[in-house]
Amino acid sequence: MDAFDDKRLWSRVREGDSDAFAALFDRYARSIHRYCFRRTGDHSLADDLMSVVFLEAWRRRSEVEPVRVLPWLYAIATNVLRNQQRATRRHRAALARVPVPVPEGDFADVVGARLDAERQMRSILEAVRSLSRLEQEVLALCIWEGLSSGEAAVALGVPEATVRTRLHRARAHLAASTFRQGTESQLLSCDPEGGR
Amino acid sequence: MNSDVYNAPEPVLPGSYLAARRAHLLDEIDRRSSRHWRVVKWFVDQPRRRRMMLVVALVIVLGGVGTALGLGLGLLGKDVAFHKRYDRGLFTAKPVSSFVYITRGTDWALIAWKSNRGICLDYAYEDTSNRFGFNGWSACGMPVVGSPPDKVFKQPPNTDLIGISMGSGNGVVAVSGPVAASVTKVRILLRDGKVFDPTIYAAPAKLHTSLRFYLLRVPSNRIRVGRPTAPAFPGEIRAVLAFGPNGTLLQRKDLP
Repeated sequence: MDAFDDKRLWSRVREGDSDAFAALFDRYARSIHRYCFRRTGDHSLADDLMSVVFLEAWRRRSEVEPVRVLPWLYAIATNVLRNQQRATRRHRAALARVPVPVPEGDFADVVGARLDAERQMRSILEAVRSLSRLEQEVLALCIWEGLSSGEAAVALGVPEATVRTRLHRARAHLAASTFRQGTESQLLSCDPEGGR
Repeated sequence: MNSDVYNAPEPVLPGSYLAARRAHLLDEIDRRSSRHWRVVKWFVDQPRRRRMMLVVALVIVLGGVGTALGLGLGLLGKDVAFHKRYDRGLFTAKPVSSFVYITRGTDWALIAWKSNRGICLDYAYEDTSNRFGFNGWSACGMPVVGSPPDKVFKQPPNTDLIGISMGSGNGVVAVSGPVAASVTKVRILLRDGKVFDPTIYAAPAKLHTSLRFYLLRVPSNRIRVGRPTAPAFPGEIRAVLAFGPNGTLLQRKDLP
């Protein structure tokens, strides 16, 4: 799953190879879905936004030759999240064709787990609401998704230094808030080699 | 609560979820690879400003075409309605066929129809100053070979190869008429020596005739149209000639 492999796949995608695109989907769909879920706190919305991200990636495949595919997908996802209405409107017809999921196994357990995750995520989103939009995006990409500051900079279309600054501010804001509540915060960084 | 800020939960994805979304995505990609979608994609991929310009251009073109069609259709309808309402006299021509366009422009039309008084030819043009919404002139009963006989006034068999209907209005002098099937070229001679070879149009199948029709439209500043009190009669036309294959002169009709 290295950059070279991504690049080779992407050059096939640019030529219209849907199999290569499917391979990239297999590789990165879970990450993009997770990012969308964590930014919205809503599984259903994240489902649709993830589809929109990949439809947009296919639509814009000839526009760019991304050095690394995943940060570019995060960039699309960030734009989609910023302009949810416009982005989903563009692909409204496609979303309407998404097949209705068939419940499998003990569906009640899945529903329960999804509701719990949504409740927890919404609580977190409520806590970070005081941060600016860019700070929230940096937090989500660097802390939640584990991107390096360079990758986050690509995803956000800002200089790497801005990412570091915003992350520092976000941490400071959250630390102040946590201190006020008398709990201990974790110190995490936007590590250049940050794992996912 | 904020201690959890750094530990965002994983979404819960049922086993078949990603596979279903993957299949849907590939279906959509296939759909977008179709010819129709390529056009849509090309449009969507244009920069926003160019998309706006394309939309504006499309609106202008469609508006122009729509206006042209509307005006043209309107003229036929107005012409039919006019004849239906006013051609009630005992000796006026009664239609025995549909009215059809022979040719038309944005605000004028040459319309033909068969009647109990032979072939009829109307030149009509939009005229909002007129209470009918249009104006023009009409000619029936031109005894050209191939046209239906005049059943109101008994006439000798049709022997002409060319008929003539003339008038002017809306800044244009129009000379038109039916020609027999054997005529391949029409020539109009003016008294000052000018020569015009008007276009000949086939009749639409709906008219069920072998007749064809010629039309010459000339701006009225290029041809003097008789006396000011009689502008509808182009006194400058000396003759109309009909030629057959190989340029043979078939008939010449001189005007007084």
